[in-house]
Amino acid sequence: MKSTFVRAIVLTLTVAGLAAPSMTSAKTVAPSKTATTSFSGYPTPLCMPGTGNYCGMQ
Amino acid sequence: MSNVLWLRDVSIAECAMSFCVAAIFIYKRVWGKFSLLFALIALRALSGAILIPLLFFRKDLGISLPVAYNTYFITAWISGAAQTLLLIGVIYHVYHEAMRPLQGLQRIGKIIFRWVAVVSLAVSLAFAAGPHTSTITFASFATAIAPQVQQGVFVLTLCLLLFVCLAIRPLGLTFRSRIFGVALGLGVTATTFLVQAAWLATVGAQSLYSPIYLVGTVGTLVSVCIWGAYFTLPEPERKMILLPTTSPFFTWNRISEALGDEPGYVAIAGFKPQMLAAAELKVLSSAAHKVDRLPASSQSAEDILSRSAANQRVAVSQ
Repeated sequence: MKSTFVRAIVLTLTVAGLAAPSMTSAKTVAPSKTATTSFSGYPTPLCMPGTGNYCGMQ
Repeated sequence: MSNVLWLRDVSIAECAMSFCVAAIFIYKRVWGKFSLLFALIALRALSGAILIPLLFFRKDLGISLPVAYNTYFITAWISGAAQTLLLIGVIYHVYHEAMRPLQGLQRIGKIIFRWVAVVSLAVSLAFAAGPHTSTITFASFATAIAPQVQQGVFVLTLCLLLFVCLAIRPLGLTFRSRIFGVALGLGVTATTFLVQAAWLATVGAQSLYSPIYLVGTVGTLVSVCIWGAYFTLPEPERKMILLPTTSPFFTWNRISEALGDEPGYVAIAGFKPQMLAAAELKVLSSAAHKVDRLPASSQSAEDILSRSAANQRVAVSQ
């Protein structure tokens, strides 16, 4: 029973993770207009330093 | 409570939890055995200690916006690259530890892992440098390659978790084993980051304070808690592995053990006695003398055995 429960959780995690990237319905922007990404776990900026664009940093 | 405050509080909780789990690793003396995971957690804690004050407390600290942004930019990218490399190392280590009893499968899996890593990297680089980018800037290159590499690593993580979960008994593990705990934590991180990745190319990711980053931060917090729990509780000993002879694990492990072995060689034709060394000739001649001295009864027994074997071969061929 316990192992079935753990297996169900793992299967849900796997299916959700694999399916997620292709399931967005939000408005997308061109790659050149993307301002941030998540590379380090924390929000990672893509605006080059010295351009005066701080990716919304307050 | 606004999204920014939620993001701030969850990030602080995650950073504090990472420091606690790193301390647990040192206290329990497991940081040597799981050195890559310890390095990953410590790196997350340290990068959080730098990035969180810059992101949320810059004005209170009196740091100018350009200085704060430049520091944040460099730290986030270095930390991200190091974390991705460490994550690949942790996946490799988990696989290596999980497959320790099945040496043959472990060896062949390691070879496949290396090939997949090289091919994935090559495909990601080719995609990033493809003709879709008219002017190659850091942002366009990073936007193209970073999500590709990261998503590839996370898909690999989920496959590893699924494999460890489904093959847990043949591997002699239980759901309380640390190997499974590490894989589960990695799986939670991978799932939440892949869910978050769905919004990275949208207008929702235009700010560093976007609520979409809550998904990944909560996922990291949960995975750090999972690692903390697994490394705080005592680990059950690895079970004795009893596999049926018909088990595919047993069969494929034996096949994998034989793969890549140095083969033996048989002289079919063109052999001359001069090719033998003096010591080999001596051994052969002494063996020939022993055969000559065999009693007639044992020779007849050998004849009987060879005849019966020949008869069996004829019966099988018919």
